[in-house]
This record gives sequence, C-alpha cells and structure tokens, in this order.
Amino acid sequence: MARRIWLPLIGFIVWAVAFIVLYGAQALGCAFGWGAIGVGPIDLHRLVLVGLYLVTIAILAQAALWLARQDKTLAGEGAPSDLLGRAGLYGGLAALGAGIFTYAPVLFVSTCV
Amino acid sequence: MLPLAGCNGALSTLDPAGPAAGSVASLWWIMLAGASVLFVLVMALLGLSYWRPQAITRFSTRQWLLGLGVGMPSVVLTALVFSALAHGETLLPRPEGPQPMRIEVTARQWQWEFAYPDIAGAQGSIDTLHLPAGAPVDLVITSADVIHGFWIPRLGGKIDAIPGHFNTIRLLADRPGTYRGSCAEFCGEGHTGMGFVVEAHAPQDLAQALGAGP
Amino acid sequence: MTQPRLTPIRLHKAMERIWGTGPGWQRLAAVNHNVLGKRFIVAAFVFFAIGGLLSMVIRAQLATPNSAFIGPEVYNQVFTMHGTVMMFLFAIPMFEGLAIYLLPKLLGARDLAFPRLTAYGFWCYIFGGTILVGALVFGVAPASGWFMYTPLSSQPYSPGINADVWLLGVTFVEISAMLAAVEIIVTVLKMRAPGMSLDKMPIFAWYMLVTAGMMLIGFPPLILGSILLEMERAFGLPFFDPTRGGDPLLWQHLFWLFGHPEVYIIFLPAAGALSTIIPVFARTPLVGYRAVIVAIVAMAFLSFGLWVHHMFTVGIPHLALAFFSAASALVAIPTAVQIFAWIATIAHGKPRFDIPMLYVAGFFVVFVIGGLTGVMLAMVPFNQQAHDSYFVVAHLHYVLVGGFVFPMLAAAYYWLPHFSGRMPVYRLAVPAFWLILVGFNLTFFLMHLTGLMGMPRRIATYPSAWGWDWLNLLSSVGGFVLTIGFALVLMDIIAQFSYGRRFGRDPFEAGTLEWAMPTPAPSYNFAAIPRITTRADQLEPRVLGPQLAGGHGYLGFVRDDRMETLGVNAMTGEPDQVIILPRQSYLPLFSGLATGLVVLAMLFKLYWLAGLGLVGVIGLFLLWTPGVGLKSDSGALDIGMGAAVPPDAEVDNNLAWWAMLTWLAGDATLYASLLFGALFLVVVAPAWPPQAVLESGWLWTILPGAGLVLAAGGRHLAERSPVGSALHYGALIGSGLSHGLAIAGLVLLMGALPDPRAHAYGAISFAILFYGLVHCAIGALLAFYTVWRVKAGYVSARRRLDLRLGRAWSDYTALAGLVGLAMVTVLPWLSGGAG
Repeated sequence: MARRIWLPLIGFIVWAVAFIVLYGAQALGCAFGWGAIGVGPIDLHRLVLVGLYLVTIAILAQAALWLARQDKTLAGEGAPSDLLGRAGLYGGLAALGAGIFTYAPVLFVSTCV
Repeated sequence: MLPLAGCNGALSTLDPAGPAAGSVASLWWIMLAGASVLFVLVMALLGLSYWRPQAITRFSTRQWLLGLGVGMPSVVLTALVFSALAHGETLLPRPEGPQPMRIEVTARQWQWEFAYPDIAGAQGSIDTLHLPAGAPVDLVITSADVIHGFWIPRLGGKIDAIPGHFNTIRLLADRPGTYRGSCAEFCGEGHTGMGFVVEAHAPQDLAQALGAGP
Repeated sequence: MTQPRLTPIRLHKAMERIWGTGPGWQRLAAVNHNVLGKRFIVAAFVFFAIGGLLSMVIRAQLATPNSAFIGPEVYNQVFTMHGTVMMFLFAIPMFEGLAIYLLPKLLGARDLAFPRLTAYGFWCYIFGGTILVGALVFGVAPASGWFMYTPLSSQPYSPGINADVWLLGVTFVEISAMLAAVEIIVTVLKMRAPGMSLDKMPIFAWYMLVTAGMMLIGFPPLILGSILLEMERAFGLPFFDPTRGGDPLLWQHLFWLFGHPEVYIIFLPAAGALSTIIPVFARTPLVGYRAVIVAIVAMAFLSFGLWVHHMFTVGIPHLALAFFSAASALVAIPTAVQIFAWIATIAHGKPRFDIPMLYVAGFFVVFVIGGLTGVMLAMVPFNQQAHDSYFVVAHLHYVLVGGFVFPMLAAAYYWLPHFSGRMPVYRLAVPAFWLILVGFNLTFFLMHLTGLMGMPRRIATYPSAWGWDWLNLLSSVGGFVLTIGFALVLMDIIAQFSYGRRFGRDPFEAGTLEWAMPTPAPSYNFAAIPRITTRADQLEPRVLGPQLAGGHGYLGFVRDDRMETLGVNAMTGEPDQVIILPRQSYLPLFSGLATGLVVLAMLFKLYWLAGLGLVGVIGLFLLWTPGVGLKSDSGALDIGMGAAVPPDAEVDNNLAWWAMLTWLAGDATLYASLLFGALFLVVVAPAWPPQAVLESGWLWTILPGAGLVLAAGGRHLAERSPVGSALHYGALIGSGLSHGLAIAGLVLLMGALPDPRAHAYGAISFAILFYGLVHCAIGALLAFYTVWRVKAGYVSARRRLDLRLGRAWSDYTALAGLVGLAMVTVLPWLSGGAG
C-alpha cells in the first residue's frame, strides 16, 4: 500500500534514467570515436543515440499506459489512493512529453562539436 | 535595426561587428519582444483576476491550467528551442569543410598570448589579437593556470580558457577596425584589467602586422 | 494511565511543564521547534543584513568608474561572501526555520521527528556561519567567487586558508541542511493528525516534502565536491588538477549538480507559502491542488537536468548542451502551472486587500520577469553572449528576490501575528513595500542592459570608455533605495512586536491548523490532537482551537511526564504509534561544539586535534541514545477517542527507521556522484591513462569483500535469532569483527594503490575505498553498540529498532563496498581504453 506513494514519481524517474543514459552515450560516443564509424547514411554515434531515444519514448509511453491502468483501478478506492493514481497518470504523461522534447535534439544536433 | 543608439559601445553585444554577434543580437530583440508580450499577458490576467474575474472563471480548471500552463508555453518553447538550436548549429567550428586560419590563444594570469602558426614567420602577440577582416578564423584556446573567459562581444559569444583543455571558437570580423575583448571568467586579483585589443586588418595587411610580411 | 480531563488552564500548565524550555542557561538546551524555528529565522535575518551590507559595499565600489574605494583583494572577498552568505546562510536557513516552526502545526503534531537533531542542526548553522563571517572580519574570507571554480580555488592559486574556510564552513552548515531534509521528510510522512491522509495535507506540506527530497539528492554532490577539493588542497590529491589526471570541470559538474536544484530548493518553499497565503486572502481554496502537486514533482526532477546551463561556454559539444537547453526551457511549464493556478484562485474568490497580497503582487511582477530572462538564457547562442555578464546578475536577482524574498516578506506579514501574538501596525508597511519594489527594479533592471553592453561579472571597477557609467550609478542609487525599504520593514516588525494590538485566534480567517491555538504558540502546539475529515486548509480554527485547548481530541492528557505525539500511516493518516520525544538536552550544543572543533582543527591543519575531536563527536552522539527507547514491552497505549496504539519503540516502521532509509538515499547519492566522478575523469580528463595502476586488483578485494559480506550476514542473523541468546550476541560481535576485517582488507588494498598524489587515478581509487572504510567503521561501532543496547534491555522481540537499523546499515555498506571494490578493480582496465 505504501508503494503507491511512489506513483507520482515513476514517470520522471524513467525520464531521469534516460537522461543519464543519453548524456552518457553522447559523451562515450565522442570519447570512443563512434562518429567516425559510418552506418549507411549516418554514423554509429547518431544511430545509437536515435535508437536510445526511440527506446526511451517507448518506455515512457509504456509507463504512461501502466500508470493509466493504475489510475483507473485506484479511482474507485477513494482517498488518498485516487489522488496518487491520478497524480501518477499526469506525472507519467508529463514525463512522456518532457522526454520527447528534451531528447529530440539527438535527431539533428551535432554530436561532438 | 538598432533602436537605441545608446546600446553602442566597444564591448556591446548590441553593436555587432560580425555575423555571429549579429545573429545573436537579432535573437535577443525577438526574444525581448516575445517576453514583453508574455509579461503584459500575465499582468493583464492578474488584473483581470481582481477586476473582471468572470473572464477567467468561465474556463474550467482543466482548460485553464492545461491551456495556459502547458499548452501555450509548449508552443512558444518548442519554436524557441528549435530555432535556437538550429541557429547554434550555424555557429559551430565544424571540422569538415575548408578550415579557416588557426590562431592559438593561451590565457594566463593576467594576460592573453596569441600565436599564429598558419602564418610563416609571424611573431606572437600579447594582449593584442590580429585578425583578417572578412574571413573566419578558428581560435584554439587554452589556459596556462586558472580558468579564464575569452570574449569579444561585438564579434560573438564567449568560450572558456580551461587548463588541460583546448576549446575552439570560430569568429569573423566583417570590417577592418579595432575591437575589444574581455576576460569573462573570474580569475583572481587581475581579472578586472585582463582585457585585450582586437585589430582586424584587411587580409593583405595581416602578415605585415604580424611581422612576417615583406 | 490517563487522568481525568483537566481544565484548559491546568492542561496547558501540565503540558507546558513538560514541553517548555527552562529559563536562563537552560535555553541553550532547547529542542522545541517553536524556539528553534524562531532562532533559525532570526539568525537568517541577521545574515541577510550582513549579506545586504556587503552588497552595499559592492554598489558603492561600482557606482563610479575607476573607483579606488576598495582594492581587488578586498572586493573579491566582498562579492564572494555576499553570494555565500545569501545563498547558504540566509536563504536556506530562512525557509528551514519557517518549516521547522510551521510544519508540526500545519500537520497537527506537537514537534518535529527529531528535536535534538533540529537543535544540533541549529548549532552547526550558527557555528559554521560564524566561521565564515568571522573570516571576513579577519580578512581571510574566501575570495574565489561563491561557486569557487577550480583551479582558482586550488592550493597554488589560493594559497591561504580563505578557500578552506569556504569548504569547511559551508560543509559544516550543509550538515544542518541534510539533517533538516531527513527530518522534514519523516515528519511530513509520519507525524500528522489522525485522518489527515495524503490528499488532505495542506499544500505547504507537499511543497516541503518535495523540497526536502531535492535537498536530500541535491546537497551530497556539493558535500562530495567540497570534501574532494579540501583533500586536494590539504593532502595533494589531484582531483581537479589537469596536469595530474584531474579536471577543473569535475568541480563545475559537482557544484552545479547541487547549484541548480539549490535555487529551486530556495524557490519551492516560497511558492508553498504563496499557495497557502493566496487562498486565504482570496477567501477560496487553492485551485488545482492536484495539478500543483504534479507540477512541483515535475519541477523537482527537471531541476536536476538543468545544471550544465551554467556551463554553456566550457566547450561541451552542442548535442549535450541541447539536452540541458531543452530541459531548462521545459521547467517553465510547471512554473507556469503554479502561476496560473494562483491567478485562477484569485479569480475564483473574493479577494481582499492586505499587506501580504501587496508582496504577492510584487512577486508576480519581479519573478515573471526573472523567469522570462531565464528562458532567454536557456537558449545556447544567447547564453554564450550573456553568460558571466551583468545580464546574469540581473536574472538571478530577479528570480531570487522575486521568487524568494517577496514571498518571504508576504509570509512574514502573514505569520508574524502568529509569532508575536499581535497584529501588525501597518503605518510603515506600504511605503516600505514601494521602496523595495522601486529600489529593486532600479538596481537590477538596468543590469540587463549593462550586461548586454559587455560588463563582465566580478570586476572591481571599470573605465569610462564602455558606456557603463550611468547604468552603474543608477543601479547603486537603486541599491540605497532598496536598503531603506528593508530598513523600514525591520522597523515595522519591531513596531509590531512592541505596539501591535493583541488578538484572539485566526485573524485572517484562514483554514489551516496553525491558527487553532493561542498565539504566541504554546510549546506543545495542541493540548489535544484533532481528527481531520476535510482537507487541512478548509478547517475552522476558531471552532477547533477552544475544543483542542479543552483536551477534546487525541492525547489530550499528560502521561508519565513524557512528551508524546502521534505517528500515523503515511498514506491514510490513521494513527499507528505513539511517538515519545526526548526532553531538552545540552547534548546537541556540546555535539555542535565538538563538530566545530573538528572543523576548526582541520582549518588550521591540526589534524591530530581533529582526530581527537572526531572521537569526542562520536562519543557525544553515543551519549544521545541512553534513554531512547523502552526497557520493557508495554503493548498498546490509550490515545484517547477510544483508540490505542503501541509506542514507537515497538513498531517496526517508526521514525528512526524511516530516517535511516532517507539518510541512506542521501548517502547513496554522494557515493553515486563519486563513482560518476571517477568515470568522468577516465573519459574526459586530460593526462590519462596514468603511469601506474593497481596490479591484480581482484586479489586484494577478497579480504575486504569477505569482511563486508560476513558483516552483513552477521546482522541478518542477529535480527533473526532470539534476543539475548548466545547466537544473538555472537552474530553481533561477529558482525563487528567482520567489519574490522573489511577495514583491514581495505587498508591493505589502499596500500597497494599507486601514490594517490601522483595521479587522479590513485586519488579517486583511494577516495572510493575510503568511503567504504568509513562505512565499515560506523558498521563496527553500531554492532558493538547494539550489544550494549541488548544487555541494557532496550531490545526485545517487539522492540527491534536497533537490530533493523544496524542491518540496514551493513546491507548498504556491503552493497556499496562491493560496488566500490569492483570499480577499483575495473578502473585500470577502463582507463586503458578511453581518453
């Protein structure tokens, strides 16, 4: 039951982990020269970053869906569970939007200059 | 496009003498206009909340908070961030393509040392930077001691001089003339006086100015 | 055994006798939150005045070009101390003090979770602040800027004790902040009035919960950075020296990882005050209670993804900058949600004029401007022009003064009647406000232009050639006007305390619990604790107050001369334990003095004395514990209203347990910062790979690894075996000895490392192992101490706190230790591959 207190935090915890992973991938890619390894029209660095971006969005969307199911269940349980469920859902949606926005630069911004 | 002549000055970012500074100055005026509109909007809404509250209460809480709190800023911020990043891309010293002339800058407490490896026979200079007017240069900057900040406001943004690191900034002075630079990162007791002079020469005069010409 | 109900006066006297602080010297033993909250606030105001005086010196110096008022050596100390004092000694302690005073009242509790810790935190704040300001008086104040960039703040470029004063003094003060964070989290989650489920908490409690969580995660990187820099300065471990494998940027990352959340830590309590005050004067509940909760959680997380926007000019690649630029812009959204929630609240209500609302209006004007310039600064190309110029000085003052000082003045005028028991006099309040608003804008609005005209930060003077003269002169004039405004506010406050009209309860018809008591507040807050059935900002204090004073509620009696309050289930608010709090004690003062001795000894490089002091600190902390807990099982205790719950010592999820978990979260953050720091150095720092590395590291890890695992195993066994049996004692003693074994193994491993002073590789490996060593030492201490506690009768099958605390600690130590051993083994391989 006490675990429900974490619901409003889950979306942004995923966002924060993604931040560390993507920033880390950017730094490691420059340090290890992944930009010099061509993969079709793009390079390995860009490929890895865009791949991680898409995975991030997928996970955030999955989390938001899960939080939506929690919200539906908890809405019927009265206070404070319904508040936590609803806050969890909104937090998950906000984190999804934040993730799409924050990490979109991997699509077009220079990686190592 | 300069509304206030009082913004001119040898160190003024609002008196640009190069394309980098020029585009940032334009960005500033656009953001200033936008910010003014938003400020007036919020103040107007605050006034309405006291004197014409029905204009606000006719919206549901969800419409109000999602629309104004999330929707409106999202639109503004997406446009702003995207254009700022695209703009920033144009300012980068890319390693691809034709490479500009390279100048090596070493900051130390409390002076700036310039070396010109691309010009055979050039003398180094202290506290005076010699540039070719109308052509981009790559300044490769480091420090011999603490962190300093390299800043020529009329030409472009600043970049830090960090010991152990080499940071590159690409600048272009439109016209020959004298410009000024500052140390923009607090570096101890001599920080206040650690400015430098920038001389942009017509390209044919540059070598001579560096003591390497005929 | 409960007595028959007393009259309100008798009940008050009985409660006050137990909860009150004694007169004279006994005031130094105060642990009561009323006393300590007020002390924090008064001290913060004093430091505000000191910081303000320093700012007047700055403005006097900068009013005219080529000024010879003070030289750069003094000027550098002045501006460094202005920032340091305002950020560390004013802003954080001010809202800490308000939270300490207000939270128990808003929540329906009689005090905070750990009163002696609050007192200890106060003394750490005062002694640390005294060291910092004292250094100013003696001319050895820190002079490298309030964010102390390396290498300027490293030994070669700051040879005196100035930088050490900052590092040790600020860390001393931040201990206080970390303890406050733990205490606030535990108090908000566990110490509420029955029936106050999470959805019924006053919004200020949500804000403080989120803020405390941010402090818990945000302060450790600064503490770590300060420790590393002090180790570099004192012992030559080159964490930040690029010639020996360190990197100056490591300091910047660690500092701003703290520094950015710090400003939201400062803003959020002020926003919490606004969310509390605006509904009262709009005479309607806060619009968007739920949206605000989501917004502040979003803000808390986002604020940890912004820090590099202070570093846009250090040469980091554009893509990395883009993440931080996008997140910095994004944080405007949860901010906007709150702003529009407040405006909607005013619109939905019947707003009335009063002085707090004047400052709320001032907040809207100033903070919105600050927020807009903040979005501008989030754009990388613009930032690269405006960074380190007066534009940033303008922005930071708009958000800090607008977002903290104005709301705090609103809060002062709103809650001052609660502190003083008198209404404000109001003669001076309105002109004071206008002087502050006009003076502030005159001082700082022009600085936006000054910065765009090219004036860098932190220069001691300037020539006439750049067009900055009239801008600086007007800013300085504005500064004087602002100061006069603050002086009038001070006079107004004094006038209120001296001449204000006394009033009954609840002068503003507020709906929150703090008004349901006589003012000035009694030491115990509530003679009886109410049951809450609606949101705790829609109550009727005028009705509730007399009821509670008459003892109608929970715990409306005194039992066995103990200080009792209620603990509840964190979610539902149903009572689950009686919390027994410690009486007043001089131990926090002595512990604070001993800690101060350690700090001063390290400052003056008397390390033998620091060691002795540390022994003293540990000994004193051990002295806190006799008397905590019960020597026999007692079963459920009557709490009135027909209910009974066990005492906290017999409950597993009690305050100390939550505090341990919370503390470990902060501890883990510090450790994670250290590990990331190691990886950062490997990947980014110049002068890698190192000449010499640890050979066959894995062999050396066997002994400490085994010790760690055995120690944890021993604590698990102790928790499961019959209390007082031979197995039980054996497990505890075995655990202690195993920690000792781990320590021996770690020391051997440290000895096998190359010289930590030669390269940052050795230094960071040493630091990782040293972290493990400290934790093992504490683990051993806890194990042997628990043996004593068992013998003394404090532990039983139902009273298991000591066993659980030690087990949690050794579990964490084992996990962290094993990770550290792995890291030290793998680092030589990692450093060969990159860089």
